[in-house]
Amino acid sequence: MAAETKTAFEPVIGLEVHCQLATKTKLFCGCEAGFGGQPNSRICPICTAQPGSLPVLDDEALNLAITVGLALSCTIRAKTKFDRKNYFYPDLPKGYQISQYDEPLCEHGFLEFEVEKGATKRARVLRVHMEEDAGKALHPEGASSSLVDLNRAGVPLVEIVGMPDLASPAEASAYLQALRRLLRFAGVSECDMEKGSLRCDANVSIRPVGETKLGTKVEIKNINSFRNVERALVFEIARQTEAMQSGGKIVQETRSFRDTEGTTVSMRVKESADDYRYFPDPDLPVFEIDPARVERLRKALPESFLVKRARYRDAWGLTEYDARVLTEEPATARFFEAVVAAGLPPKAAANWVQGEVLGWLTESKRELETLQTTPADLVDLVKMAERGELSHLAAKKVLRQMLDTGAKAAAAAQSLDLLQIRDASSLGATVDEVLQQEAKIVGDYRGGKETALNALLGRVMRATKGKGDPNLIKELLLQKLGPAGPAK
Amino acid sequence: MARLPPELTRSARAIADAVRSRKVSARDVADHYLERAARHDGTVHAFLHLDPAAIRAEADAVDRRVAAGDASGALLGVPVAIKDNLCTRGVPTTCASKILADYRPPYDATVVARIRAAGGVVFGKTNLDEFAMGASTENSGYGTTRNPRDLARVPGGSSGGSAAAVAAGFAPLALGSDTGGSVRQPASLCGVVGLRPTYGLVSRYGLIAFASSLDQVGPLALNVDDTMLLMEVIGGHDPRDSTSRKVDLAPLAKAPAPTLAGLKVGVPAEYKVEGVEPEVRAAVERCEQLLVKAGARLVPLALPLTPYAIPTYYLVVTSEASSNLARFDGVRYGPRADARELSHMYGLTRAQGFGDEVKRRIMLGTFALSAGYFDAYYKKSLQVRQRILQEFTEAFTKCDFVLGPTAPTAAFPIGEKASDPVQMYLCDVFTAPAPLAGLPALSIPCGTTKGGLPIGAQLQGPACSDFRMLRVARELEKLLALDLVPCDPASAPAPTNGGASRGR
Amino acid sequence: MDGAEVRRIASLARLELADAEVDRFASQLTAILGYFEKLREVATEGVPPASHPPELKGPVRPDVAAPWPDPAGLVNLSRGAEGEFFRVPRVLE
Repeated sequence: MAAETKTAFEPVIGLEVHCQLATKTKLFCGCEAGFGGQPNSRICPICTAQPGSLPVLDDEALNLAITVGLALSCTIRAKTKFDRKNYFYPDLPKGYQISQYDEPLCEHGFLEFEVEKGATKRARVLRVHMEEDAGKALHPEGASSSLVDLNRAGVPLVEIVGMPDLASPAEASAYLQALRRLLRFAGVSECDMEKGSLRCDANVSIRPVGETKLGTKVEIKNINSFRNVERALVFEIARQTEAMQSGGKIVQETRSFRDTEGTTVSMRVKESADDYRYFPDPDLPVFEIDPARVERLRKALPESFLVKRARYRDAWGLTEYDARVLTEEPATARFFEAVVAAGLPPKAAANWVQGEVLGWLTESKRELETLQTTPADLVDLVKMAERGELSHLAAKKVLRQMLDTGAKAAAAAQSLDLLQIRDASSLGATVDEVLQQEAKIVGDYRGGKETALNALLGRVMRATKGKGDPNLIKELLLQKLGPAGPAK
Repeated sequence: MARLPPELTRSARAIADAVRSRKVSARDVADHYLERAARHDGTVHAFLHLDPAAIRAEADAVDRRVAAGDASGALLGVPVAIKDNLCTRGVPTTCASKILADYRPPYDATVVARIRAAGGVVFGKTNLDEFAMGASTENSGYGTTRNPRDLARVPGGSSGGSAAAVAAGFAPLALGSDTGGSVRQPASLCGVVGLRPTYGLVSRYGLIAFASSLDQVGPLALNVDDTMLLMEVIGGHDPRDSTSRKVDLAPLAKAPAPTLAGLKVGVPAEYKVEGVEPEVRAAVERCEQLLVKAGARLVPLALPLTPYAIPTYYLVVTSEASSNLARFDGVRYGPRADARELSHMYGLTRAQGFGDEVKRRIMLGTFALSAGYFDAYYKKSLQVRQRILQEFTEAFTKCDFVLGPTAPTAAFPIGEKASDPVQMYLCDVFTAPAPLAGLPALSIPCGTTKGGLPIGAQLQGPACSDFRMLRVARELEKLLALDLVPCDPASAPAPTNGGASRGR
Repeated sequence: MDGAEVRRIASLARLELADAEVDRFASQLTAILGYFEKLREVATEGVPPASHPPELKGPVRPDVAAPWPDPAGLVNLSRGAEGEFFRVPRVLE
């Protein structure tokens, strides 16, 4: 058969991201909202839907949701309401989820993210709305029952709906990474996909290259890691492309990503499930969003990582690489900025934080948050080196000791016995000893070999176990020997 | 024989005063009412749950409180019967439904907690139409209640048990709930007073929801003064209820009594329609005349949206109810059907647990909210609702209160309307509008039919006018000069239609 | 409303009806919905749909934990309580 030119297709992707807000309590009741805990220990009449119970909105959840909207440059509505999304499932105690349907809190924003080094793209965010999380239904393998844990029922979420502006799996991954970083820097959520505080569903369709109309979209659920976002999208795009190129059609459906196989499979179509019968929740009157609250939150919005990165680069002269590494995580940026605030120039601070501290953390598999060593401690150490109390090499060793044990700079230097010897008379004595022992090298020096001085320096350093102040040693040697060449 | 003298059995306030001044013990009061219930409730069936030992223990605790010198508490020693859709901690609360058989709530409804704090004695759980859906208490999953005035007739609904308990002297006070008339209509049919408060004035926390934007807990009593007493205790802001008004009740409760002279009483033409029985119409007209004689002015009103209140009401309540009742699935409480697959368990549990009227309303609501019908039914009903509110707002620029009959007829025979849902819905023609507008309304006895059946007159007022309206009603009550005492069910005509109906 | 529609609604509402019930409900619901048609007579152009009186505003509550003292008691209200969990029959996927 003659080779036919197959139509080239391009993918169109939009992500729907759910993010758990870092409040103390659940969205509509006073139960603790954290992760984990013994099953059904963080429950009350409201989140277990006892008859007669009623919801009351958490103030901080409203603040954090508005913050997400502001961070994504959305417009915040002056009035917002909640709607009921009705369906039956054992992890949904009321038989409906309190969510927002046609009047979401935030709308029409965007996320600016890097598609490749130096090139950014803006993906539009259609809406950000608040809703309560469901509990967890566990389906033990082979068992005829499922077990329900309602700890998570009622935890506050925002749903961030992106427009289909992403053009490839790599772009989708970059978008998600940037969104995660943005939310972490804004302080609204931990955004940990493993703990479920960040969840992602993808909407994918394909169309002939150059076509503007969108193709039939397929929703992919059950993507539970960053890596799987790309894997799922790659598979799905290939599946759809294959189908279209062999003359088939794409069915609008929801598919589930299978981690072990790396494939997407059609989910059982729930009988007449998608009629959620949304209507305004009659237990919750309309909420007026005070403009003063929005202004306060706007002013308090932490600097985004992109702005920080630019500032480190342009105002502080850091390299692109250093700026990136230091703005990878909010905790890192905070630590670095605190070091600068405590008195180190930014470039030096960058070297020490990025070069030494982060390296140690990676090696020791530790998190910055668990570090006992404070920015002030680091600055103390560096100042000791600047004052000549420690050689640069010694300082690095002392830092390692500080990081390992939590000791302060002076104490760590003492305990390692690394304080530089700067006492001229004791060093002078050592120099004299070495000059006596190393007659041959002295002879070379007398013979005019200048580099013999370094060898002598090395010998003295060794004699002082590396603690001698090299500059002082050199000075003393020159004093005692004079310039290279025959003694005068 | 009754332990308490007539001056106490006709006034809850007098009971509280007597207990406070130690003229009578809370225990004696409790024993009086327990004896009456024991003697007569076998016929009336007002109660679904009555625990004499627990009641006596509560009464004893009140006596200890008084003995210790704590004489505070507006309801000291007063028994209050509680409709069985209000949560009472550790005490069965069934909403008269099989789906909540043996459910013991882990908490008290706010109104129940307030009654206890005021020294009241929680006196049993009363019968109702299942999930408050009905106008006769015949929809109860545990048998119907009989009207103490005529045991062959319905007490009204859905708070039929509470109204019957007060009318028959089983308790001086009762709590009911009113969504479309469920406090006022049974009050009217049983010859007692019933108030539907302004929406948001009484907490709904612990009231098992039927239609959230309409439900209100309401007091029932033999007279207006006692109704006011109970309202003062249960009303007021509750942070647990997001629909609770942030209004301080105290100034409202202490507002000066309006005089009848110069009062403008609205009389809508739409309330004098054909379906209203002549004796009912005559009784309400007598109220009009008494008010005019005392100096009030009648203002003719047009409320042309009145006939649309019922379809609006039924679309709104069934939509909200279909969602509110989704939680009854056997997973976390209540009986569950034996099934090996989840959907089947849900379907069977709910089919077995809910009665027909409940099923009908759930299906109507599910339909009204479903895709393709939402605009035509649910959204439309909310728009008409808005217009009804506007109509009342307009009316209250012309008058202070609106007067009319509470129900178009007096109590009807058990079984008469049970098989025709639409007929039953029409009982709400005068009581459905106020809840749609969130307004307060009150039913007071204003006479009887020739056969001795009670007739109720209804007052409706602007938002938050509850206490002013109660004071006007108290004046009218004085003018009517009826003998407002409990009746003895034994002396009502015996039922002529055979055995007790089981209510489905 | 016909039998098929009743079945669809009953399924959405998780009510397992017997065949005889389906027919009975179909005629009753048809009658009731017929009565609701009356609402078409009311002009509602431009009228905002409203559930609550306009003066009612949604309140917020401070973000302070208020743990329920007896969570185990809540689990034990269930006929399907199994240790710390609510047990339910398996969902057929």
